[in-house]
Amino acid sequence: MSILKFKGETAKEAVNIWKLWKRNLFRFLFIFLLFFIVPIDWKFYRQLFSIDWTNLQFYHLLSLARYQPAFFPLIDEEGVPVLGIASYANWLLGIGVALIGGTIWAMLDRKREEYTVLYYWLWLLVRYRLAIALLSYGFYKLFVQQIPYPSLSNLFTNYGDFYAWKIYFQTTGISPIYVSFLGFVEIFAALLILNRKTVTWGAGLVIGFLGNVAAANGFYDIGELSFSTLLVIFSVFLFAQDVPRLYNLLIKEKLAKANTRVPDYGDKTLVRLRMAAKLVVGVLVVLFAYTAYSSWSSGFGSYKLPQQAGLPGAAGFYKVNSFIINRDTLPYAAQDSTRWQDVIFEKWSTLSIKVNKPVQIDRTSADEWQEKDIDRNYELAGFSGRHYYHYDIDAVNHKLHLQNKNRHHRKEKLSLTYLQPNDSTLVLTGVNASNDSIKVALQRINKPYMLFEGRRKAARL
Amino acid sequence: MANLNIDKEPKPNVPVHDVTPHHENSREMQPALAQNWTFAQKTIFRIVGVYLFLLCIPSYYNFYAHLFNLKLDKLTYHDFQSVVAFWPPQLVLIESEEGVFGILNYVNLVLLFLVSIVIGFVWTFFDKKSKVYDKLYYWVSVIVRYRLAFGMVGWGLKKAFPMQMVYPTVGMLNTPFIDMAEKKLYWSHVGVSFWYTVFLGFAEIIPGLLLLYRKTASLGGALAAVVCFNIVLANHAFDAGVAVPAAYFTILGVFVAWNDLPRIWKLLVKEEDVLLQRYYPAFSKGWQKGLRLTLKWGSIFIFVPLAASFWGYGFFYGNNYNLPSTPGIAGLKGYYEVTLFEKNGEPIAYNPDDSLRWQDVIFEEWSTLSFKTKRTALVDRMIGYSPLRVKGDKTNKELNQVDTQDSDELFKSSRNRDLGVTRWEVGGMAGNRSYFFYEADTVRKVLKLQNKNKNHQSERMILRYELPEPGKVALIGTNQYGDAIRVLLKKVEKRYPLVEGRQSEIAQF
Repeated sequence: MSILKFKGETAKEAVNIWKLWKRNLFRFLFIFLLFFIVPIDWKFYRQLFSIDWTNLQFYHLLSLARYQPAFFPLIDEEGVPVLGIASYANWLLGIGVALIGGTIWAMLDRKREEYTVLYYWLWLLVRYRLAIALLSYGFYKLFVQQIPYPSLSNLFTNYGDFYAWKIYFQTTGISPIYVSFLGFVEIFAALLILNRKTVTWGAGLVIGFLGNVAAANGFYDIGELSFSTLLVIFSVFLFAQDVPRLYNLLIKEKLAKANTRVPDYGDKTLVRLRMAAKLVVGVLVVLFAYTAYSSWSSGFGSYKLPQQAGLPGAAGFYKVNSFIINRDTLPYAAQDSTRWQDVIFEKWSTLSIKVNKPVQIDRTSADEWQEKDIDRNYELAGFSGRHYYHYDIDAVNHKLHLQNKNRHHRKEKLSLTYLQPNDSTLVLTGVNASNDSIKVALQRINKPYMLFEGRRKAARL
Repeated sequence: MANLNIDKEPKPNVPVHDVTPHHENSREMQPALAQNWTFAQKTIFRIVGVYLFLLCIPSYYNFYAHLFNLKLDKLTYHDFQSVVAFWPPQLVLIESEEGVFGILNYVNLVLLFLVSIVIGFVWTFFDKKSKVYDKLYYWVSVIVRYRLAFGMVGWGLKKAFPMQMVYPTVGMLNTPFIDMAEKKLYWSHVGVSFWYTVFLGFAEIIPGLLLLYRKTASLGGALAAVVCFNIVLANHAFDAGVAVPAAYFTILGVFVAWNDLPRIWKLLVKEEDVLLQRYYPAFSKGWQKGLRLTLKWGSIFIFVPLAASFWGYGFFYGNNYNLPSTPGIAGLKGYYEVTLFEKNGEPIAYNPDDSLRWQDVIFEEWSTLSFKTKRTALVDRMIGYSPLRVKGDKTNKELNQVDTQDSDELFKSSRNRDLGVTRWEVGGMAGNRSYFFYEADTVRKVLKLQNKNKNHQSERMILRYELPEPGKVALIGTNQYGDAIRVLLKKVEKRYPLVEGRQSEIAQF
């Protein structure tokens, strides 16, 4: 610690005696913030060492950058995030540790008059921690990885069949430029925070931006409530140091004294440490940018979506013109649990069916990187209303091997022979999961939709 | 504008008692310096000051006509809102798609600036004597501050009492994402969460309140500018139509914050000690003080607590401008399958390709009946209360649908207001679900129905209803095309993930 000194006369001025409450508060905050910053949860290292650096994915970096201690789990066995107030369980632990630790520290360190230097170190640490988190989320959005454009099946899902968090995501997602802009704001704030003199501006921006994100997390059960709140706490901590100054300037209209805690980089160790910190951040920026860009420019634009291309020329929305099961033709029926109503072929190898059969919703956030397409569940997480199947194409025998993508319905498998008599017709024949033979005639529908027609012109829809 | 700041001492001839105690305090630390404004500062002020002044003065006849025709015994929140939601001067009206929705919609903000430049130069030419404009600058700031503050509070109130964005109707819950316009989706995703809507309301109200106190005004102005700038971008991203009013507020917010920003920059970034010296006008005479206090607290009282209580009253007592207020038939709310549909005595089988045969029926909590067919409709493009408008020109149906919103007049005359609300239910929705308002005669069990879509409002139906057993409804009568129909409905006990929520134990739908 002693390697950090402040410049010139500042050194003297900075060493004012702190009032007792200030010393106590500092001791508490020091331990509390460190509890969240220093990776003391072993799971962090498990993640760190399980990374395959030859196949580095943006998600792996993100999962490190959004580290927070999870002694009380933040995710259940199924992968569903702990929601609501319960997601703050670790905070109680942090507060407890900080109270006890702060008390012991206070007893051992009674003669101490101030913590100016230690405060500066803590301030530095919080700045870098916050900046790294912001950079990761910034690139997550800048390259539209966090909130990809809704899939065709998603667009054909009834509004009530979305969880609120999914409505929030899919609504934001229909404007990829806006998503990118939000990412840009986070990166911009991170840069302000990395530059010592603009920390307060960046922190102010983050309080507004992430304050809104945290509120949305709380009200829409998005699943990152505690982490987004933590980042707000970090930025409030950073912002706080200039509050008395701004209060003096703007409200009391008195002479506002500028900051004097300017580190003296006379010490070589300090210079090296600083270089190292900047290097780490620089490397992280390159890695975030590179991996997020790779993910954006490959496959279908986001690692959350499958990669394998779908049946050539088949993508689109189909109505089910006829549905024959064991030689019985079933009429159109909205409430029937067997008769399909419509089918969607995605650009990638996912097929979704609307049929009145209950869906056990995948309640996860589906933000993990998955190797296999069938495990890439963002397109169905948080939705009911449609059944999603991953398929492999056997082009020689004109067969599709389908498997239900939903983790609760994985057992459902079926093989269907496909026939494309013309451009807009598809005929699927085969055996369904309950061993009935089915023959389904699909007709592709091309028509204008409200979402794309917009409200600018008169439209008959 | 970078040099435009007035943080210097008041003019030397200003008597000492004009200065607030703070200034006496600061004067000890920094000797008074009487500084004249530079030529550039003066010229810029003459342009920008005129511009901001013109932006903040209502300049069309209707504003005053409305103001002077107010009936005090019939006040509603609409009357408060139409005062604070006035438009900056509209010099030209470009009646094209781009002019109403797109980038050309900014034309009046630009034109007015050009006009201000001309005025500024003329002023410069004639006014060779003035050395400082501290006083004028102060008063322009006051006008801008109050105009922006009441505007922010007004817009915040329609979210604090969630009316601008409302919870999805049952009809919406059963409509696919793709059948809604972007603006509809954007507003609805806010309305999905009551408390998030309230939260956003306060994100506008708080900057508004900060603007009312001159010492926190620059903070309020900066916050208002940031919030409104985000609204500008979101409006472009989701084609929501109020980008220009939000941009207008952004300009006002930047103007208010402008003067303090260089000082804050100097203090925080350049790390120099700073003493901020604001100009405060002198009120030496008693009547001046009295007038000031009356105007200040009178306007604050009207546009903050009084407006809030009217918004609250409207919200809790059936005057939500987006939603109907006539209760529907008790106990019917929900989603129904159509088990039988007869046209002129002939049953028609369920068929998603039929434009006549109803596929399902929804009863809302209020008196709306909607059903799905394969028909198309000329879309009702009124999505919430928004300036989809060509003011005063009712003949331009292509772009003008704002004048069709008159729920407030109906409310004031104690008439049924449901057909006058913004048609939130049907606006920006594909035509395959038809929304009908109904008037129920519960004694004779007859529904008189009218299509809510303004472009199809001539469609009427008269249906007799029977409730043979719980969960079943029979409708018999004449549809909008004059066919005799008989429809049997069976309620589907539907649960929605959106309603149950992610935290619910129920995860099977």
